[in-house]
Amino acid sequence: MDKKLKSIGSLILLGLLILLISACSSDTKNNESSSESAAAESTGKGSSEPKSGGTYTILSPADPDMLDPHKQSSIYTHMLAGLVYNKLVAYETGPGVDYTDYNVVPDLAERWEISEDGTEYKFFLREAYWHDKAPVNGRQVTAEDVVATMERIINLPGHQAAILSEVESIVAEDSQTVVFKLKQPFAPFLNFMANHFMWILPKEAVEGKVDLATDAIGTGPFVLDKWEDNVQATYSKNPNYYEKGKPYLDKVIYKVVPDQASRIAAFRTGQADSIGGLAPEQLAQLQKTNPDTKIFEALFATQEQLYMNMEREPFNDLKVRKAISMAVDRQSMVDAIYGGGEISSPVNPSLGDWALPLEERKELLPYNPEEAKKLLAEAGYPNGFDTKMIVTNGYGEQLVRVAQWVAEDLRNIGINAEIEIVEYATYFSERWPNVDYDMGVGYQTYFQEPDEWLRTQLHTDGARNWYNISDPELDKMLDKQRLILDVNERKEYVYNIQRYVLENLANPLPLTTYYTKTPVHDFVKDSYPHASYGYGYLRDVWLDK
Amino acid sequence: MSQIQLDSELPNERIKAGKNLHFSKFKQDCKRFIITQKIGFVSLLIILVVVAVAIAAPIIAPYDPISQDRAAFLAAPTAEHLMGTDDLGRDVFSRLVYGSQISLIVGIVTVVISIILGTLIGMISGFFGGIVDMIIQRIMDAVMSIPALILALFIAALLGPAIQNVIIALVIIEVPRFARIVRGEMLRIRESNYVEASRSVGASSFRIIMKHGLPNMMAPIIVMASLAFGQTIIAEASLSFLGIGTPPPNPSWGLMLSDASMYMESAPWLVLFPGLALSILVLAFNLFGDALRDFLDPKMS
Amino acid sequence: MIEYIARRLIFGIFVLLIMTTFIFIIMRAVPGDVVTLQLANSGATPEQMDALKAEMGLDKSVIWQLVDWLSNAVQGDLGNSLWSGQQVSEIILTRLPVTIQLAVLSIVLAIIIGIPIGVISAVKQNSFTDHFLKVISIGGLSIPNFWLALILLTGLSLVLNWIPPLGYQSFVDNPLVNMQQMFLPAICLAITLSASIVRMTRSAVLEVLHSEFIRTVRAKGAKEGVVIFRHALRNSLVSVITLIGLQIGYLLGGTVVLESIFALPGLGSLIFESVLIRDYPIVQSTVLVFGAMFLLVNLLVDIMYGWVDPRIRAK
Repeated sequence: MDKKLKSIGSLILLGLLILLISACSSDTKNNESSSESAAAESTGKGSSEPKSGGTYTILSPADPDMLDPHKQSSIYTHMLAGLVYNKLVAYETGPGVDYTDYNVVPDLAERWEISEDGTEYKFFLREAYWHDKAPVNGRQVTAEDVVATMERIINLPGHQAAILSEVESIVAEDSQTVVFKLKQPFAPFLNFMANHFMWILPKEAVEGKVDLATDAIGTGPFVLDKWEDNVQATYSKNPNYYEKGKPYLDKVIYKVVPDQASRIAAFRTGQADSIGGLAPEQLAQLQKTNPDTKIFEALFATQEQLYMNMEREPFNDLKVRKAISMAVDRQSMVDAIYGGGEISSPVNPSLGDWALPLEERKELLPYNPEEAKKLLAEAGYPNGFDTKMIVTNGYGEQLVRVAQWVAEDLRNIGINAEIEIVEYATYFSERWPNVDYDMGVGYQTYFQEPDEWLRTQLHTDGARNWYNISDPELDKMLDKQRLILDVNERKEYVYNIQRYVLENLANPLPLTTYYTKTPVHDFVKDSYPHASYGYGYLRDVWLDK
Repeated sequence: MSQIQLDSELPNERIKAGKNLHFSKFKQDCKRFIITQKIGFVSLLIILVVVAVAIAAPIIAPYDPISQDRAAFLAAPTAEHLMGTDDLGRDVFSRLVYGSQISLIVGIVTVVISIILGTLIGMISGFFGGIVDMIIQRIMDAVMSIPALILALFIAALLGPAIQNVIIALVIIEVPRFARIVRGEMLRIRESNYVEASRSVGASSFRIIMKHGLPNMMAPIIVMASLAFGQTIIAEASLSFLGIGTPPPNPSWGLMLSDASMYMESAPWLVLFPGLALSILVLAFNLFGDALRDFLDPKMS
Repeated sequence: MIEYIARRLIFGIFVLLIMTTFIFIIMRAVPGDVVTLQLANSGATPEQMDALKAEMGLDKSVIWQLVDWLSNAVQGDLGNSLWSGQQVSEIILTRLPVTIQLAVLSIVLAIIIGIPIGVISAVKQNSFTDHFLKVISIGGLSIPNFWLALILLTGLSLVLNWIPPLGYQSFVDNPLVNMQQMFLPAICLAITLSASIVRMTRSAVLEVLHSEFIRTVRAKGAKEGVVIFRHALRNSLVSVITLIGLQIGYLLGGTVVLESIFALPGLGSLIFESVLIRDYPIVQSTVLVFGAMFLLVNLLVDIMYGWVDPRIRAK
């Protein structure tokens, strides 16, 4: 009898020991203030001259299934593509440019001309050279490469082809000029050309002479040395990059570390420079052991959405949808689960002022459970109802937490939503696209154009209308905004569309957009990340050590 | 002559006496077990305590395991929340208590179904022999050759995170083990003298199995069941930890651990308690199974 | 003996065939196919999906696909990853050594831990020490290995400010780094494994201690310790080898969770990732490899056992 007690005793001792250790080293409750003091901007611009050299290490929970930038919409593929490829035009990054400023600036195209009627775009290529790897061997970039790339983008099956759907023809006028002819004026065109799919490949790659799944030859600031699937990818500085003097870093290493505790530990011990977003408690912990750590805060490039199947009762009733919207305490949720964020809008706030102003969002998406219950009763459900909510665990824990939070809020107004966890593969290939659900919670893709946030999701023919939405009024509005070439006029119109959506459609319901907080070492200078996919911004980074 | 007379004279009394004999033998065995297998007995008590906790969960748990106390996220243990709260403000102690239900139910359902299916398959295999036996055996071998967790992962990942899928996966793993025991016993019976003798007196095969086979199978099956319990509980926890087992917001201990791993530094109690609970329960089952084995057949140890 | 091996081999192949068919059919019967998964994020038309399916050979009937795959496999072509296009055999060959190293290291550590404890237990049979050690070692068996891993990882990070170096390096490339990376996961697996080894060793040593042989030795006055050491150890090693055959299943299964936690690019983590993205060729081949390893190890164990036991040798 006492032998058993002894073993129980030793177990308890072990437990106490662990508690003791943890109590000594963690005292998070008293240190919440330190995370607040973190700057909500990118690391300070070094006043001294940039130093060349050094290795920048990125840790990621996963890596791409393949490197081919046109066959994959995975964020990991495109982040890495940003190191080795360029596009014709890109989104500006640099000092003074916000994470969510979408300014189209020249990249491989030095300048461009747009015809009067807006149907012809002429891009003039700058002098740039491919990486010195066989079979391309560092030759100069030509218009032929661009045309071949575009044709590949159009011909491969998949979403990326839709980016060029308005294009009638692409012609290489001469070796350094490419002309795009559109079927009709298309306001989002330049933004679409800066889309993350538009990486330019050498024509040898398009012809199959480069194994794009495992290799990459581009014009970007870094050259891919080697990709070891699921272990790491290593890159070296491109000596012939078109921006003279850049990049400053010698090497970039991208390692796969699925366990977050390991990533944090690596950052703490100086073995890693970029480890992704952390929860507030983890940041506070980190700052205690590494007080020099800066925090980079930015509005996340997508939102959580609560979406419903319009063809299933009771979600076909607008009142029910609005009641559901009012039941969710969005602000508390994003503060608790993500440590801070904003109520979102049909166009994600990461697109800057294309989203409705924050005050208006708060008005149109209020938290009012009492009102919600009343609406439900009016709709014929005074006692609520039972339903099922799908969510995938393929995006990590926080989203699953969001689902649980929302389910809890819905319980308060009488709706019992049973959570069904769908694993990633089934979620993406069956449940969501086939609208095989009652309601669900999920992230949307990082759309980078208002057109994608609105038309692609909400138009009856929208490629991502996985909600059974069909509103002819709305369709007309969505088609119209594509033709408005004046930016300010279009913005106003897009606001109206969003108001209409929140008042009369209320599906999918924007929940929140959170502030992603990433720790950055003090010695990392001129790091200006941007919401668009790609690590290209690393070309400006230098290490002050 | 006289025996038959006795039988017909007081049949009820005789039967009752027989039953009493069995029962008092059982009581004797129990007493012997408690005395010789002290550790096993204590383990049994622990198991019973956990079962009691699981049954009385609604009474014992101070909070609903799913409801979120939004004023207290990741709270350290206090008087209000004995074991603290998790990142959604749910009371850890309540979740631990309700979590015992999941571990036990998955364990019981899996083991019971496995025993039933395993016995059936083993009986068919052993009784019919020949080609039937060979085919069934090869299939069982094939299933057993795939490392348990990998097979479970395979099935659970394909079917999706749900308790019933976990049970399906775990049953598939455990059945061959029970089938093997039963089959072995079946084969032994077939060869034994008992069968020859009984057959010659005219008893049916079925009766033979029931009377001679089953009692001998009981012992190894019970021991295997106890150990299988421990394995099943850990397997469910592992699957839930990997995200392909019991889905949230259910308070599966394995799931609690995987949620907690994000907060190991800031809230270590989240990792401590579910892990301890798992370890203690599985330890109890293993020790009990061990003791049973020693008790029922010292030669087996 | 030869006949014995041959028979076992043939049965083994038969079993592998059944296993493959089983896996094959289940993977395709379950929802979530790889084509829709790859293209679902885009707006591919049904025609494009069909084209991709044809390209991957997924449009033929399941039986045909199985036959195709088997005939290729026999020639050493295990197909290509449906996602990265890499050769499956290449992927597996690259990741196999990691898992094997982890398994071997775990076994070695388990033996180092288990045998001394088993010996002490046997020598002090039925004493308090014996019971205490039994509970401790079964305790090791009962602790979920991933929990142990988490605790060790965080404990070391907080107390010693140390973590295993990131970016897996093979033993050949950098033995020091490699050992640091392998040590923790191996310990976690070894602790569970050692429990059974303790029991085996204890029985084996007890057997020797109670045998006629020992009495003779004692009567002769020879050094008891040395004799126990040599004979008991030999006895227990045989049992341990048998044990490995039985436990290899647990070991291989354990690699899945531990490789994921410690970011080791082995077969365990491979199969986990591949099932989730429905990369059929990888999953099939990996399960096959696991099954083959299991059968092979058991065959070797049986051979060794048979070789040691002259009765079987004579057959």
